[in-house]
Amino acid sequence: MAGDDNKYLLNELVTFIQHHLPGLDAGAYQLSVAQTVFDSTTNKQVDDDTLQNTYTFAVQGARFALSNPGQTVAGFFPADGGIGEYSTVLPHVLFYKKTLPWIRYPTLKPPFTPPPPGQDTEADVPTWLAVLLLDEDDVAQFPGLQLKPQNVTIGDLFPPAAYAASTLGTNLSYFQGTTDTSDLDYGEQPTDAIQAIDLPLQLFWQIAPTLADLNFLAHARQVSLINKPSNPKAAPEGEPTGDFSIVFGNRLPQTQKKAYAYLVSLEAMQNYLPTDDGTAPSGMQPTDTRTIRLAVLQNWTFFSTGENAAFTDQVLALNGGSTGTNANLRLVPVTGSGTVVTNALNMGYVPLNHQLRTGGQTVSWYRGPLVPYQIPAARVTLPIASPDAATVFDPTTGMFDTSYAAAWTIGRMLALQDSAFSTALYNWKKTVQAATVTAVENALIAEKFEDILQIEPSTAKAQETEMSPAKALQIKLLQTMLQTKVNQ
Amino acid sequence: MRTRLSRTVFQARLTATFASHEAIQTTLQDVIPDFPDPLHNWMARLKLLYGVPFNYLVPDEGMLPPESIRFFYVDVNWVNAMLDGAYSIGRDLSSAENSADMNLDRATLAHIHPKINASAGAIRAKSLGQPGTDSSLEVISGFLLRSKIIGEYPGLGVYAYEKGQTPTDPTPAMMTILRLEKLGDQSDTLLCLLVGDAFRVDIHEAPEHLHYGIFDYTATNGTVTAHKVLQSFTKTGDNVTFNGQIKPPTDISSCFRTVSPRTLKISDLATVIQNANHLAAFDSAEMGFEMTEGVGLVSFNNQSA
Repeated sequence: MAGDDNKYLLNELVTFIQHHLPGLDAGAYQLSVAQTVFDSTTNKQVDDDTLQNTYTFAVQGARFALSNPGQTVAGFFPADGGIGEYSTVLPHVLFYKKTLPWIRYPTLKPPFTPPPPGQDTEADVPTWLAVLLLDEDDVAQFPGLQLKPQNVTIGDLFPPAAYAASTLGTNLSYFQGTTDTSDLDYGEQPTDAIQAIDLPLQLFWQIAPTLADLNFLAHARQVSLINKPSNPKAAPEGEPTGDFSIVFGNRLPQTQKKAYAYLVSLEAMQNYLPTDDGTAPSGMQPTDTRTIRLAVLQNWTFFSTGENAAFTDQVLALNGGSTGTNANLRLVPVTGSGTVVTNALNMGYVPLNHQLRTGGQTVSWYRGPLVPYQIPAARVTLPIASPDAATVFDPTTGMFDTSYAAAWTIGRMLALQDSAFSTALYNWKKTVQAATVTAVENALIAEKFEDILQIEPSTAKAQETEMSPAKALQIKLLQTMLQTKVNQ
Repeated sequence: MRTRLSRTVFQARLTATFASHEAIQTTLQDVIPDFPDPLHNWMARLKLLYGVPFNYLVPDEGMLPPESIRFFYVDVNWVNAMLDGAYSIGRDLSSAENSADMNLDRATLAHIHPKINASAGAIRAKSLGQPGTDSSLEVISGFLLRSKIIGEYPGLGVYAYEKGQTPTDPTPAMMTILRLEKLGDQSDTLLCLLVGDAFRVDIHEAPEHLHYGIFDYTATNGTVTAHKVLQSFTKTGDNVTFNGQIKPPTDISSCFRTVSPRTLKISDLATVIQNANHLAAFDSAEMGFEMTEGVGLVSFNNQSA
């Protein structure tokens, strides 16, 4: 591609944004309003009663599961079930919700000083989401590791001291050291079903990002939607740009091994996250054999083959790659076809069985609206009286071309199927017909009673610009009648 | 003086008017009721082939096999025939070419078609907050893309150019897209309709979906050799100026954990990138920019034009 090509294409604006912080963090809130009235002269309180009211509300955000993944997740990379060359790429998850990676924190306290309302902060904010990548080799190293996320409940994330039915045992999870389930947010129940994975701490430390890493593993992107397939989820109606957020993994996939990727929550995991080189953090036993239970918000698998299967390779392989000869929407004639058939196929026609109205059966040509060459607009004259009027007979082959007849019929059927449209159309046609009849009548009246009305039929409209011709005539008639009465 | 107007005169005049669409047009010139918005919006969607069964568009699977892209022109005659079929509601099918119903429909054609065209040109534009195209939509071209990349790269972008307006020409201009969407949620087929005669079509990866990647990676006995191609840039406020690639690719072999040689030490990597670019500060946005690999783009050119 030429150099100026690149320059032009760079006009496509992609904005990389450090983070989008939510206006309010998830949780329950209480709003108190109080009003005290003072006398302006004495400066004393008018009434002892202070008027006040309290409102409570909750901001809900995804925590241990995504409530509506279809509306939240815009895509995985590599795609779920994808097969290709992924050995030098980091997996990621793309979200439609631009604030999602920052609605919670991996730290125990908010990791930044909240900026004044309406302002943004330049500070690094670690994301609470992480993409972890496992494969069969990890199972070999840590027997007992299950790659398939387990179906558990939110209660299973609590130690048994807090929730008796918990299956966590002495292992670690989000609520270490709590004795009740009060840390749950508004609307969360210990019995809610979620998915989770138990990772041996040793493995977790090897592959989990550090707290500092989490500052760099998520960002937001703003892109133009002008040249993209329509997608109502990408932006509100009428918006030319879409906001996305993206969370990356930190581990490269292994070639020729099935890779299992997980989007997990690291909320408040500060004390368990490893050091820079993947060893136990201070305060933890390096030989700890316990596991850590993480909520799995999404999971998918892919396979890195080590062969090229990047986007461009896949697009270049379309139509059979460079050997492909046909890029037009038509059937390719088999060698040995007759001239008639070859020509028709090249023009985009397809022979189809045709049940004749008389009961007979034949084969006719059909071609859809998408044709391999430009066709001038003057082939059919509208309106078409009936499908038969649009059927073309080719005397040289004795075959029908039913394309336009089929088009007319499907149009009529689609219109009939939508009763709102067909009724409205019929009513509109009736008003057009009525308008024609009225106009004819008015013209006739204007002509015949020209002398009585004393108006030029052609100038009636010009004189009474504010009124429709019919109304103008009525008023003129009325005036004439009144004048006649006075004269008598 | 008395003037008497008999009903037969009126009826004769009506018959004469409805016998010719020109007469109806002349009569209706100023008083034609407006073609209501819901109606021309509905017909505009039909014009862009919304709701038309797929086997009417592609009657034989051999025309669009798996992993193929097929370019086409839209046959205006076909679309007009279909629009007329929809518009024929309330028309007597057994009637002759010149019946009153036919003439009335014939007379209103010139009124409704510009409205349908304007509406069709605005459907996609409106959902993106853009002004609709003022083209008369006489030439519409496009392509059908059937491939697994439709599912794998949901936001893939399309740039289309007419002959003489491609990026290699002095005045490049992108064609207006009338319709660009998957034919269903789980479909592997993408339909694109363009205003005008497409000469070159570029298909590229979605910018929001660009992945993080490195240039090369080999690990022998736990010793990692890896490189990353970095872009040099300078920042002035929010504006970024590119200064091209940093050559040779930066060595990032030290950014992998000893205990798990495929796991990147992301903060170390950030420091390496920051130093390579001589930046004072470095955040996730800059990291995102540096770690993404370039947009993969493939051009299709019309060889016969």
